[in-house]
Amino acid sequence: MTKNGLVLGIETSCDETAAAVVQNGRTIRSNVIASQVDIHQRFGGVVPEIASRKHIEWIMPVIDEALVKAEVDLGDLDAVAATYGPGLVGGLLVGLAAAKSLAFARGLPFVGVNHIEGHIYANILAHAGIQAPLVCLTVSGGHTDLLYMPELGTYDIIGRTRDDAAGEAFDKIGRVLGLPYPGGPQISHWAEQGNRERFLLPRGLLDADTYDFSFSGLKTAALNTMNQAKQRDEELPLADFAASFQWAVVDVLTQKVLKAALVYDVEQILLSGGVAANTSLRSHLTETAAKHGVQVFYPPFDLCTDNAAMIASAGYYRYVNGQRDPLNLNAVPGLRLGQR
Amino acid sequence: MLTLGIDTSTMTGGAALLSEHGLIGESVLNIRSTHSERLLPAIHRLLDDAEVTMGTIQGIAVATGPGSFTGLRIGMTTAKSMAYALETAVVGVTVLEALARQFVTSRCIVVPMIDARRSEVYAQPFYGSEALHNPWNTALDEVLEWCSRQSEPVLFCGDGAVLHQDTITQTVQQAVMPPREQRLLRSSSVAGLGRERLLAGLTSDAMALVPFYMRKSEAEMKWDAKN
Ligand SMILES: [Zn+2]
Repeated sequence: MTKNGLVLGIETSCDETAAAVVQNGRTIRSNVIASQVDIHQRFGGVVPEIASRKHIEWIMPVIDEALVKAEVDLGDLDAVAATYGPGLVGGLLVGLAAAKSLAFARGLPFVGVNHIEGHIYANILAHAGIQAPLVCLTVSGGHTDLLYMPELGTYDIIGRTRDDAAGEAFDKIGRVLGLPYPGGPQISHWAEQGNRERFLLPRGLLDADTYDFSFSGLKTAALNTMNQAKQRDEELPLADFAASFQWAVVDVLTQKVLKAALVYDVEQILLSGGVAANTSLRSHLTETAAKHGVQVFYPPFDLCTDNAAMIASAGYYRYVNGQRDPLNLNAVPGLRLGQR
Repeated sequence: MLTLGIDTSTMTGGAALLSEHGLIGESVLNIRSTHSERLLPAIHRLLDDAEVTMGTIQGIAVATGPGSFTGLRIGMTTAKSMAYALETAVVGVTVLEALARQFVTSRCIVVPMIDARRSEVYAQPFYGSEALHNPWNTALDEVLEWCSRQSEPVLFCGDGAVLHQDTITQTVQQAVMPPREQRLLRSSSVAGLGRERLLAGLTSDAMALVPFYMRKSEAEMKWDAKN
């Protein structure tokens, strides 16, 4: 069905210009990333127009390097894949125009990839043993989605947050506690020494018959606890509070994901997204799932940051599943999972 | 030399195909939908209608700007990627040069003018194919003041000459206004000028070609003002 199983992936959704060649969805032949971090530093954040200008400067050299390093000619490719959202529209348009034009000029199929879905495939690149069917939890500052993947390259959303994303709750509480941004790693750091049973915080929708999440109640309860301490002029025990808050999130995520794994009868669970880097979530979910004979995978650090190999991998499985995207596919800055 | 011309600098944009016999075909749309959605389908239709395959294209010409930053990047990335994929020559021409070419025989001073928002324009005066000045990014008033001082008739074109028509005709006595639809840039002019340059051996580096923005990003301007 495939020629060589080779897919060129292109990723330009934020401040990284990236291209990669991946074979059969799993083997990284090349993975080139040009980072603009230094350029945006003096502005205190990514400036979209400057990012877009760098993307067009770097896009062709980065693509060329990816092909050269992989020792692959455009004609050897099965397909070209690119991120079309979510992200900064100016950057997305550069990568998307490059991918569509390369594909059109050489008569190759083109596949558009959702960046959030791309992150899931960092797992597939890192761990040879991953086989569908799977349950996947993808959590970040912007989303919390629970997916069932009957096979690679396709998924059903079985649960998602009804209000705040898990990472958003971490960041909000971190900010109110006066911790540096982003709040997630900071809370996780303080939680290491804390007593997670000290404060009892609510688990939203835990007993409800749904895989959906809710973190707004937890956020409100945590803020109330902080205010009460302040009104009583008491010092909030930061480590215990951080541990209790983190535990409330980890507990509800773990219980819901595990329930899904058992109901859908899968042997493997994937974690992805920024919150997947949380060590407490990783270890608690891994231990709890192991008791039920379910394996948990999360991507290694070097594939957690934005890269094009994950886009090529996701693109490969989508291509194998028959997805082809038209030449008029536009960038969708607010693209969500499950949206075409 | 079969040449593909591409323009996405303003709301007007599209593609044209030229051979040694002249124009083969052209697609120009002046609509709100993004170039990301319409450029490649337009090229696809153009090639199909002309019964030309991508592989037979020997040169690509692209409008480098000035214009909408986002629009320019879509057309230029497309041109660069196609040139890379086909291993064919690519050349950039400015929007101002390409517009002036449309009135090269007019015996007027030709002033292409592109809307730059904030009551500013990008503009440049030409006589025949000769530029009389470097490109300006300045207030409309300043350009019109320069134009008023000229003794020859001054012909205005570009989307700025559509947007600011009344101000121009009220300010510049000797203003010449072509019919509205004739003022807009044609991809065939980009292709024509580009083709001449390619035949003269003037090519751009597909790897390094970037838009002719004529303006820093907002963030850089603010940073410069503070530091
Ligand atoms: Zn990302």
